[in-house]
Amino acid sequence: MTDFTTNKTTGGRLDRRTFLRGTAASALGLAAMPALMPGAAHAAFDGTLKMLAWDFQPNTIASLVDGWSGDGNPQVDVAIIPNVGYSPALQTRLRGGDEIDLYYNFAYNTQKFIDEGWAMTLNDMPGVDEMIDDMFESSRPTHVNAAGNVISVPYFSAVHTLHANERFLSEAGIDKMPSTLAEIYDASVALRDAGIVEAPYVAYWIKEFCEEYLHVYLLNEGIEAFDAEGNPVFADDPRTVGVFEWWQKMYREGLAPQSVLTDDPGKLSNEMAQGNAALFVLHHYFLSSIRALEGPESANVVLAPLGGDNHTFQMGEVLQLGNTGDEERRLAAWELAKFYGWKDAEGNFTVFEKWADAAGLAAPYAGFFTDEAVIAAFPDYYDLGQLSDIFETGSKVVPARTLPWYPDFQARVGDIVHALLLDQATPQETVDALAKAARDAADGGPKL
Amino acid sequence: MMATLRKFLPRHAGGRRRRPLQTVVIYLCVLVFAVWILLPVWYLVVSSLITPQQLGSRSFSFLPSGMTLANFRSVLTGDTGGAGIGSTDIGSRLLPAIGQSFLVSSILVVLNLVIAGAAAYALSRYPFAGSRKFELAVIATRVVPAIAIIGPFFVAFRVIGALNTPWALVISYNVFTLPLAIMILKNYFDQLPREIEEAAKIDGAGRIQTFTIIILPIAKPGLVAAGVLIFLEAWSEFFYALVLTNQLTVPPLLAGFQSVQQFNWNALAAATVISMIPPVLLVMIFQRNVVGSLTAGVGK
Repeated sequence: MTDFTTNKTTGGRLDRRTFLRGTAASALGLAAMPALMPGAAHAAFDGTLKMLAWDFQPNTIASLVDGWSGDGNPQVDVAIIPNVGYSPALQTRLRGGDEIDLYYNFAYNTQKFIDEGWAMTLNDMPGVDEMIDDMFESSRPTHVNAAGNVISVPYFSAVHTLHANERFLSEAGIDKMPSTLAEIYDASVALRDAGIVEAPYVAYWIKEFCEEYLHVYLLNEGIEAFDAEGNPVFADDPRTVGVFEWWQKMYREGLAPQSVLTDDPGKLSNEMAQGNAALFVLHHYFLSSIRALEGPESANVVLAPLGGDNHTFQMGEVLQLGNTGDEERRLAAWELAKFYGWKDAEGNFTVFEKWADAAGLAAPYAGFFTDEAVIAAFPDYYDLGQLSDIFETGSKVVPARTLPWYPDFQARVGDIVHALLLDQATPQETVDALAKAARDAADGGPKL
Repeated sequence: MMATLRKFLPRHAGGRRRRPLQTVVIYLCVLVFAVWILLPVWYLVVSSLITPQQLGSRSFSFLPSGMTLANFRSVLTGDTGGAGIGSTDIGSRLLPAIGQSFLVSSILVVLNLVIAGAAAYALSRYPFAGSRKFELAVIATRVVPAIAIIGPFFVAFRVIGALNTPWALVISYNVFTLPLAIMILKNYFDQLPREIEEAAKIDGAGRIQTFTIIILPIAKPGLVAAGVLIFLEAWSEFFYALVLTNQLTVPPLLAGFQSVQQFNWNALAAATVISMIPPVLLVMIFQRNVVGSLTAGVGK
């Protein structure tokens, strides 16, 4: 910005030429500002934008979007469909020519959607660099691919965290919150042997979710599953077999209940709330579910801090911009994306604040955790400093998850891991099978 | 004593009385089967009448001591509280969705009975060269997975502007309801005596007259059975409704309870129980026709 308090002006020798130059530069600067500010530019597009979201508090979605439109932005036609079946429905709609300007998407679909031409890269969009700069470095690979293209905007983020019943741990004589897999095993044995909980450890180990736990447990032991090119380097790490040995042991020895392969998170949250389980690993926001259930043990459940150099898995779902319409329409959709996935025109995390209040969902921005409105929105049982630290330095996303072949690999993980848990495969065989599944997926399908 | 008991025991189709042990085994099997079928429904009903705390209790009680209508109230008013992290405004959407499901299913029943009735009667009474193959082809269409053919439907409805309308579902559901109706009605028409039609023909009735005046009245039980089954198929369909509409009908709306892995089972159970009322009532009203028609010809 031009500084009007330079010597030229203060000296009282402001000639006409200098004044005009200064004015022109200021005007240019002011003109550029709205484009850089989140959601500050009112879109020139005067039609109706189309947005597709999955069914998570549709009334909140509608009110947020209506609020955005009410600020002089275009109207938005929001369509809601269930989270179950969302991906095939979205792909069928896009393949069928539906022009959706902005849509929720699963992070693992993002690069595929770019490659298919259903979503656009955001590199040249005004303010995109500022948005990425605002983001935790650990979160960026979800939204910026290896080639440096910005492929999505955050919808929400979460970190896998150990939810632990402090009272039970204390009763079992465990002073230090378990953090490594070995410590979790030992704590589970101690809790069971002390007669406090029969099957202390629960997790959402259904087939569709085993892939997230693969990363949770590998990262927990300092193992990266894939390298930058998407090669399954976990198979070459000697520590990997130990992770699967642990996983198998937890189930085989009954430290996790037999039903855990099909239990849903609602039930698992309830198990924690009722005191039927003491340790629960899943997205941090399940603490809200456990507390909201108001069971006899709900108030004793806390998020465990990460120990030492451990990492956990950071996940999040995204928004993508459809490849629709002309430049004006795209810019309008981008303004909506910035509002919905970053900040509003005043620089507030309006949308994320709502999600934090509704369910404890987080945003991958450092400023989010220090924003006063956000802090007020989070229930006080969340330690936001701890959560922010986990986002910043204690968690990693898996960049390979956005590669176009990744959904094929993901679809195989559940079968392979369940075979391990059901004693139909050894840990070494599981490692080999997962590595093969990843290579097959990357090569375009299994080889006969 | 045994002789007295035997008098009350059911007979085989052939008229011979069953042995008591055989009867006990049969009834036991029926009981086990009934429990197998009804237990999940009972679990659902109980879940809708208890609190999340009771639902989470390890020793789940199939006869809970305390019951509450709070789940129904919360579903109908939209106030699912803190435990309802997902769809909080389900109440405002559930009843309209039930209405839309009823509309789609009812239109489909009428449409299918007219088209399938005529087709089934023609196949039964006027077989043509290749009619058997045609029947097999009709049946084969039912095994085509929805995801394989929904793309063209989507494009067509987008072009004519029918997306997210009941008509998109009415038209697309024919893919699986029409073959079902044709199969049921063809089987039913095959069982009807041809002599009545021949008598009508002798009396000067044409084909259409014979069909409308003679056949339709006596085929009423078969038509009712086919209608009920079409209604149930349409009522419970998920995938077409998911892709072609925005939660217009009940199944995708109920699926919306599972959002970001968080859902309230009690509220889902209550919403499901509410949405089950119309089809259950329908089946209860017409159950005699449904059973009678589906077993038509058995034992002949």
